Amino acid sequence: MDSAIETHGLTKRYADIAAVDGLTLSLPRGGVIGFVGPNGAGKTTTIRMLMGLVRPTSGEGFVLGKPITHPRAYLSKVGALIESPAFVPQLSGRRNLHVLALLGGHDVKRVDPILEQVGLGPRGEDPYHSYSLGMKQRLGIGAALLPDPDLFVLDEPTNGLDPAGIREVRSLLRSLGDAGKTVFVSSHLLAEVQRMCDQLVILRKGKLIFQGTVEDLLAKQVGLVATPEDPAQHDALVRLCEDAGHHAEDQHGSVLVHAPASWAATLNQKAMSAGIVLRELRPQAGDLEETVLNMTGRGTL
Amino acid sequence: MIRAFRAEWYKLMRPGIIIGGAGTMIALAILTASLIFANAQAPGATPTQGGGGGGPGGPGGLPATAVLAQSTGMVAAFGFAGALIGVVVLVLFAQSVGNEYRDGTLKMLLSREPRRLRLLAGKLAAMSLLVAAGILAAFAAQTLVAAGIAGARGIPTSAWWTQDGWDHAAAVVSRTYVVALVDGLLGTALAVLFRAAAPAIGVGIGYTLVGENIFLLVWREGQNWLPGQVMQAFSRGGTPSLTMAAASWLVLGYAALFVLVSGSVFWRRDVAG
Repeated sequence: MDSAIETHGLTKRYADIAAVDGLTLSLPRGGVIGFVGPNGAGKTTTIRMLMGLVRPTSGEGFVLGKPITHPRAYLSKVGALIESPAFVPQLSGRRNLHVLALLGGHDVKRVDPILEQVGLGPRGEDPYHSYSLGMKQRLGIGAALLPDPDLFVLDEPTNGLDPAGIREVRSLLRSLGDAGKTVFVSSHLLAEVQRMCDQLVILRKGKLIFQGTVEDLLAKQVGLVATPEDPAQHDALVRLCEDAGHHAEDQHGSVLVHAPASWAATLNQKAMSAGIVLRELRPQAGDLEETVLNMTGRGTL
Repeated sequence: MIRAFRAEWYKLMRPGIIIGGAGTMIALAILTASLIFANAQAPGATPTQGGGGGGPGGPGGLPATAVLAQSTGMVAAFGFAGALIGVVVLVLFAQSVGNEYRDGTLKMLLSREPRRLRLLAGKLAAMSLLVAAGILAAFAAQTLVAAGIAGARGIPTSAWWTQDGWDHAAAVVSRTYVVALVDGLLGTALAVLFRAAAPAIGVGIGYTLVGENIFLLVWREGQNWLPGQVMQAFSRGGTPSLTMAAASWLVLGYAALFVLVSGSVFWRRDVAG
């Protein structure tokens, strides 16, 4: 088993509600893998099951080839930031990392360089409760770096960071992925996911709706966007495209035609012949945010 | 478990915990010693029955100066402080465990030590060591204060420093420690059940100070079975109705029960918060 993470029918039910419903995944080792879905899609529950915090109702999972029923076998090689960072409020950032280093049996000499790496060196002695949200997030990422892991599991690592901080974290995660580590990162910032991830896993209502490369996903959404001058001709335009053998659907009042860009001239001609004046006709570039929203519904991501 | 112990010990070594835990124990022991030695019945007065050691006592159940001058006098006040120290330890354990849930730090700890029972055992071991240090410090402080006040009031203390005096002191301090640990285990079990410190402390103290007395109103035999009564009997070295041997077994049983509840719930339950 050479997957970083593998699950077969992984399910977690709370009473009658399936937080994660029959999730089957196989994520390769190395690179950055984005984990996206609307709130309540089951991302955090999945991460908690992978980290041994929550027991699955059914199904099985493996992390770095070891079953999730024995987290001891793999957690020493996993760095995690689950949901939001949580540390002892009265202890300094340095002491908090020191506690985790002692507990995990990691070299405590790693604490200071890691604090520097996440930009907390000068504030390392300050109590955790005095940290801003962004600083707390950095300390959480620092804690994930402590074991020098093969796999990072990070839940919203850029939450609360300013644009410069987001860029730093993106660069850090990308460099870890390029260095052969596996980074499994959930995020609501789809532009960031698009920039840094090689692969994507998309959940909706506890179920997997996509797993593959970002390019594969975007390719599904490439097409033409046509907007009739007269909104009343919208449905006629859709029918025209469908009759020509290209699936068409509404996109915010325009028509998204699933056809290659080369069909634009034909479409223009056919529309003219049918008496439909087009105000706009352009190829649609692949946009992750739009694509994911279309796939998961228009809820809050 | 050693790693969990070291991590917890490192975490405990901060002023808030040391002052709030060990400092409170020391303060309570000093306060009790001061009150008892300063208010003990003057030599020559008629002794009345009562007092923490079950011997001749003074007004309000306080030991008389004649009792304080005996070899048992060194820890006559410490016996009274023991019950209060138990409450402090209950709060300390409940806070330490409950706050891991409240602050969400439990998930961080479990990501580094997924063997939950080892984590809990290491944590309890570190807390127990802190309590041991606190009780020893409290004993030392109360002894100094007691000796000082006894000297000022002309209460002889020569019997304290005999082998018999030290043996008695060791027994009282040990029993106080055992009772405090069982109180701590109760606090731990409640904190694990409630996944929070505040309700655990409220229920723990409420039961100890009020609830058990209400039970006793309707069940007199409860004085030989209810945990607070059993621990009180144990800390006194036994009572007429409950021998030391029986009290020891019951204390052990309660400790095992609290460990079983804490361990099984902590091991089994999802960490979702």
